[in-house]
Parts: sequence; C-alpha cells; structure tokens
Amino acid sequence: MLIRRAGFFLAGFVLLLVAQRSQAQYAHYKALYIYHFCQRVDWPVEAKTGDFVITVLGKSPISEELRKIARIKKVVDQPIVVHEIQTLSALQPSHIVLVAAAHGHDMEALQQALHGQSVLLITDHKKGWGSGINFVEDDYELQFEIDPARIQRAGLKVSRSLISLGILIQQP
Amino acid sequence: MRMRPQIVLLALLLVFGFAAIAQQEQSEDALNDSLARQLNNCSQEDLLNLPLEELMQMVNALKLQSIEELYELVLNPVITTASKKAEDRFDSPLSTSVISRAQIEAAGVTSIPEALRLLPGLIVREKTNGNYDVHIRGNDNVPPGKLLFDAENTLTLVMIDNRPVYSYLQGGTLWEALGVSLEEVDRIEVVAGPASALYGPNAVSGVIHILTRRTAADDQQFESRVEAGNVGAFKAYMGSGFAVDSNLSFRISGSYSHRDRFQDHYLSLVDYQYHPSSTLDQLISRPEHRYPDTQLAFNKMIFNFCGQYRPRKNVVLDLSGGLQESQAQTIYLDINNLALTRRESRTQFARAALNWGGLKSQVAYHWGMQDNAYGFYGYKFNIKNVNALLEYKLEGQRGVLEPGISFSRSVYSDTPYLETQWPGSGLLNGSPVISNVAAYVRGEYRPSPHWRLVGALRNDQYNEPQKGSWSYQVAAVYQFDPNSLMRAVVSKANRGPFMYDFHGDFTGYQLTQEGYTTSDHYEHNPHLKLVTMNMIELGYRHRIRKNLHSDIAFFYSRATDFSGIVSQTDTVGNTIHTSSTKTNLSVVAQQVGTSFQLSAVPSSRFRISVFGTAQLTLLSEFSVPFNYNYSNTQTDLIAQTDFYHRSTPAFYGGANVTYAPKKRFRFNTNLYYISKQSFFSVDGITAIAGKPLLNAVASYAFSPWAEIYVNARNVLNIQSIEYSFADENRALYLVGLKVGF
Repeated sequence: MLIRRAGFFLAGFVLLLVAQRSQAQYAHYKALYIYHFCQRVDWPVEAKTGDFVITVLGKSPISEELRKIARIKKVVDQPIVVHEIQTLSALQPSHIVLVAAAHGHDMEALQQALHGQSVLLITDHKKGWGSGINFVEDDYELQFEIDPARIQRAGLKVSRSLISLGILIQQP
Repeated sequence: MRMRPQIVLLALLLVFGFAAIAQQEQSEDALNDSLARQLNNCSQEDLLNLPLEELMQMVNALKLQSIEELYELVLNPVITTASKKAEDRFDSPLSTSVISRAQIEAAGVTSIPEALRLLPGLIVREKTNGNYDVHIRGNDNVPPGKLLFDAENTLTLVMIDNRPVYSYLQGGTLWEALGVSLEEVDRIEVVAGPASALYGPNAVSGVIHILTRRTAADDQQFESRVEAGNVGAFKAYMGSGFAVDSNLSFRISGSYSHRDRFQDHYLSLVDYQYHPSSTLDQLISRPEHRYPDTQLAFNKMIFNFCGQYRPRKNVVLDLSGGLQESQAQTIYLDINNLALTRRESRTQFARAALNWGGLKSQVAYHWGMQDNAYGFYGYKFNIKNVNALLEYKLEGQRGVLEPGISFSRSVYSDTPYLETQWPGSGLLNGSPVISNVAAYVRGEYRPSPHWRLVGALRNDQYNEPQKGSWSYQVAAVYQFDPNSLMRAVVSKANRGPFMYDFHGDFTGYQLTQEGYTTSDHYEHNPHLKLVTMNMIELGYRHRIRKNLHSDIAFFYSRATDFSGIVSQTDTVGNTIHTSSTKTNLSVVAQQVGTSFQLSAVPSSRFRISVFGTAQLTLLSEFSVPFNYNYSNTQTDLIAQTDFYHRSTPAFYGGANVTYAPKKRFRFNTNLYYISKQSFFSVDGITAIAGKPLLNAVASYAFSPWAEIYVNARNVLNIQSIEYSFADENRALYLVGLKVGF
C-alpha cells in the first residue's frame, strides 16, 4: 500500500507545471497600476530620454489598456510606446517588460536576456517567478507583490511608498 | 422524531450568529458600494491623476461590489442539461438544480454522491463508509418485499459528460466505479422528473449529469490535495491543466482514496445481530473467499485525461479517457446469510465529441471487468458498452428545433469466469447484447417575450424487448416579469432493458444422494414491459430580492409496469426444483410532493441555501407474487393492496451555509436530514430512523497557493444505519492540505 501511495505522489509531482492565470476583466486597472508604478520608480539618467517603452510579452488585454493611457499620458516627458511581442527574440530595449499570464515558461530565458539592463520586470501571475512586481488577484483584492532588492539590482530606485503599498517579497 | 436538544441549540446558535455576521457584512458592503460608485464615475484622466493608494482602495471596493455578479454566479448559474443548451438556471423549464466545484469544495464534500446531499430532491443514503444509494424523489424498492439485489435504483440516469454510466446488468449506478475524481467535477446538474425524451432510457425519475473540468484557452492549472482521517481515510489527488495555445489545451489527473468501515461486524440475516468478522466462519463457509479484507469500505484509483482542440471559433473537438480500479464493501446481494457484498471493478473509457456549429456528435466506449459480488460464482463479467449520438440544432428568431439520433450497444460476458462442469450456472452464460437505436427531436418556441414552449419526443427501439417505447416532455414557461416565472411540465419516461431481465438464464445445482443435480432455474422474460412513469409538475421561481431566490415545485407522478421474480416449486424425489422468471406486476406507484429551495447571498462573504422535499408515495393494486417465507409482520403488510410506501422517506432536505470572514479563512456547515423509513425486503422489514447529518469544515489559506482544512462529517456522531442491513455509520474526521493555483 505504501509503495502504491508513494508511486502516486511521484507520478503526481512529474505533472507539476508552473502556471499563470488570465485575469482579463481587471486589465484596465492593472494598466492604471503600471502607469502609477512608473511614477514611483526611478530609471537611470540614460533611460530618461526618448520613448518610454513598455513591452508586453505574450497576448494580454493589458496591452490595449496601456495604449489607451499612452495616448493621453507621458512618463515625465517621455512619450509612452507599447510593444506586444510573442517571442523573446523580438524583444527590444525597454523600460518595462510585462509578462502575460500564459508566458510564465519564458521567465528564465527572459531574465537572462534582461541581465544587466535597467528594466522593471512585471508579471501577472499568482507566483511571481522572479519579477520585480507581480500582480496578485483573488476574489477580494487586486494587489501586487514587490521585490525591492530585485528591482534595485536592475539599477532602478523604488520609492518607499510603493513598497509599502505592495506585498513585500524578501529574498533570503 | 424527537430532535436532540444539542441539535436545536446548535441550530439556534448558527441562525443568530450568522444573522449578526450578515448585518455587519451589509454595512461593509454599503461602504464598498460607495467607493465602487466613485470609481465608476471617474474618467480615465481622473483615474490616472488619483494617488495609487486611493485607486487601489477603489478597485478593491469594486471587486467586492462585483457581488452583483456573485449573486448571479451563486444563485443563478449557467446550466446545460435541462434544455441541452446553456441557459440561466432561473429560466430552466424543468426542475433543475446545480452545484458547482466551488460549492462542493466549500462544503467539504468527500464524494460525488455526498455532493448530491446539497441539492433538493435527492435521497442519499450511506450504506457503508463512503458507499451510497442515491435516488431522485424515491420510488425506490417498488414493489417491496424483493431481494435487495432487485431493489437497486434503476430509475435514475447518471451521466458523465453526456455519457451514460449505469450498470446494464440490472440497472443502477456503481458509484464507487464512476471513474471520475470529485476534484475533476466542474459541476453537477440534476433534472428531477422523467427525462427520457431528452436523454434516453432510465431517466425515469430524473438525470444526474456530472460535468468534468476542462482547461480554458491560455490557462494553466495545478492542484494537489492530500487528506487523512479516522477509519483509515486517506486520499491523494493531483491534477493539472495546461493550454498549449489558445486553440489546444489538455488536462490530466489522478487520485487514490481508501476508507475502512466504521465497524468490523457483519449483520447476519439469520438472527439480525451484528457478529464480529472473526466469527464469520460460523455464519458462512470460507468467509475469506468472500471477504478478503473485512475492514475495507472502499479503495479506488482513478486516472483521467482530456484534451480540447478549437481550430475555429465554433468548432470544438473534445477527447477524453480514463481508467479506474475499485474495491468496495457495500450492501448489494442478500443471499447466503449476509447482505454486505464486496464489489470489484477495473474499467476504462474513451470518449470523442465534436461540436461544429449546430452539429453535436459523440462516440464513447466503456470497457473492462466488473465483479458485482466478489466470491460469488456467476457475478463477474467482462463488459463493453458503446454509445454514440448525432444531433443538429436549427435556430430561428423565435424557436429552436434539434433532431437527433443515438445508438448504444452493451455486451456483458460471463463466459471467461464460468466453469465448464456446471453448464448454465452463470447469470447470463454467454455474451448477450443489449442494443438501442433512437430517434428524437426537441423544440422550443417563443410566441411572445413572456411565453416559452418546449417539447421533446423520442422513440427507442431495442433488440429486446422487440416493442419499442415512446417518451415525451412538454413544458410551458410564463415569465411574469424579470423576477418571477411559472412553469408547467407534463412528461413520460421509461426504463431501459437490462441483462438480468432480458438475458438472464441461470441453472442452480444441488448435491443429493445421486450426486449433483439441477435444482433452481431462472429464465428471462422477453415480453417484459419496461417501467414507465408519467408526471405533472408545476413550478414557481421568484427573485424575492436580488440576493434572495426561491424555487418551489409541486409534482405528481404515476409509475407502472414494475416487475418482480415469480417462482414455482416442484419436488422430484428428494430434490426441490424451483423455476423462476421475471414478470410485470399490477402495482402502481403514485407520488405527490413538493420540493423547495431558498438561496441567499446576504453579503459578499456569506452564502446560505435551505431546501427540502416532502412527499407521499402510495402503492395500489399491490399483490405479492413472491413465495418467500415472510414473517408475520411482512405478511400483514403484503395482505394489503393499497398502502403508503415507507421505503421512500416522506421528507428529506437540508441547509448549506458558507461564511468567509477573511479572504484566507472559510467556514462551512451543512445539514442533510432524511426522515424515517421502513424498508421491506424479503429479508425482513428494517426500521430506519430519521437521521440529521451535520457537517462542518474550516479552511485556512496560509499562502495564495496553499490551504489547510479540517473537515468533520456527521459531526454529531449519530450512529445509525441509513440503509437496510447497512453499517452503523459514525463521524468521519479529516485533515487535509491543498496546494494549487
């Protein structure tokens, strides 16, 4: 009996998949949150000229909501440009990379691709998977997890007020 | 029945406690409503200029305000069984109830039959720990006085994803061998009342339709659960769904569960006393051949797989398959002094369904081994069931017309398990076939916005009996306004043919001075008429408030053409020869009753449902064809021709309350009550006391992806039987961990 139970668990853990879940109905508010994040994160001087590029990896309703914001708002003086890409090879220099719910499996490659770049990595998944900010949504609240150490390692400064609003992720 | 003082006290505490909590919740909801209204009145520019702190407060208020959506989700979910298409439950023309996966999980339900205790119109009795007998509105054990073997519920159709799963041997459902884990259930829809015109034979008293989970496009899911408790209860489940892209998705799952019985004693049908299993050899010969594990209640392992491919917007190809292996000790076969029977099965299924615009098609195959009475010669079979259907929906502005055809074929073979030196000694002695071809049509017409007329007609042709059957359903719905609706249904349905009735052919042998000679003989009856039920139902649904719905139905049904085994005996020398066959009986079962459900969502964190069914079942023109040696009490009863049928309870129902004060903490309590019954079988009349079953479960999510829970079933630990000659079931306590996202 024990062998049978152990076999079941072994088989089960092979099935373990990392997953994300789309929360399209709150895309509008997530886009607003992202705009507000831009106000409370400071990019290096060399990133403060030209367009403010937000790249969305994968299909996400947040892309369209961000474009609506881009039509009427700037980040300080930088016009906002939103790119939606489907593969990592299409990634261009960006200020923010938002990973859509269904693209969680690209995270490792994405982190390697962004290594050494001043990019705020945002994910939309119940488990952050190594992003600076991750949206957390349940029946009651739309919140975000924030990992200040990871954001600072990317060469960005994050305000204390933003940290206090999020669910703090502290790395060991 | 006298209510125990502690039950009354507990009920009062619950009512007042929850009333106070609901009041507080309503105040919080009012504040959230105000914030959400502000958010809705803001322009995009306003929202961009708001401080993030305020924006978050408003968004979270809006989330709670989406309780309006919650009202609809909880009180008026989308169903598909009653009209063969998606519709709001409130609009259903038939008596329909549904329970979702979230509700099942919140209530701490541990099995599919137990989930049915949360719905109106369902009679659910636990025979042994986790093994059940399930009926819609009863009419069970008609005519009374039969063998338990012959008293199985053959009037209710159970389907999994449109695939019938009843036993073709003699009807009924082997609940332990369903082959779907509770965690894989997306929802269970129940249509009460004759529904053969929609789903074919056996939907006499209604349909229980189990719909399983699928993975949505661009979604990923993982869930793992492990739980353990007293009486050897253990369960492990793991399931994962993943979408390759927006067109292709899969789901795979497996579960293992085990439970022991609440007792190690067996009830003897000789002295009606419980005897410890260690003394079984004084009751029967070679008990180890019948009961290799006396403690076992059930043991089952299930694996399921499904995939969905959506190449176009209106095309869905759905493939699924699975296998299950189960062993259970339950009440089934009351011969040879004991009624507790071990059943075993190892079956697989494969199903393919294609929906292309208005075209709906399905082919399903179910095969494997079923040993209905382990240790008994002749009850083990290899089974093969095929069923297929093709339907096309024509939709107009005011109506729908949906013709269809279906085919099913079932083969039960006992040949591999019979010994050649005893010719004819099996139940079937070969590989008989039951086949069914049917043509049907369902239509809807809306002559005005207030009226909806629904009709369905079906003709079934079988290889046996050669005379086919017609079934129909006519329903009219009148909607007074968006919040109230009245409906009327007239319907007729019939049972299908089964192996035992139409192909059973059994020869018994007896050891005499001359050696073994044939004694008993059972021969099937090809002219047997199928049980038929006619029903009239009136129903009224009302949204009393946006968060309070009521549903009430009044029904009358009349069922005829029941059958029973008739025997003749003849003595030749020292041998008594018995020849038996099954024949239709004159008995008529009439039932009148009412069923109600009141559901409320007093606040975003509080849900309550109260439901019940009260009914009277009258048997008339009853005469006993059986020549068993009845006791005096039994003889008194069978001397009557018209009497109230006590095998079916006069009242059953319950309540379900869920409260989630914080997003991480959830509490549920639910009650199921079934009134007293008197189960009359050939073995005697068993008085079954009314039984309230109170359950409670509390869960705490210590992270967004992990939750622990404690679950107590029959928390009052009322120790009594719920079915004739069954175990005296007690409280079950479980502790579990769920990990998933």
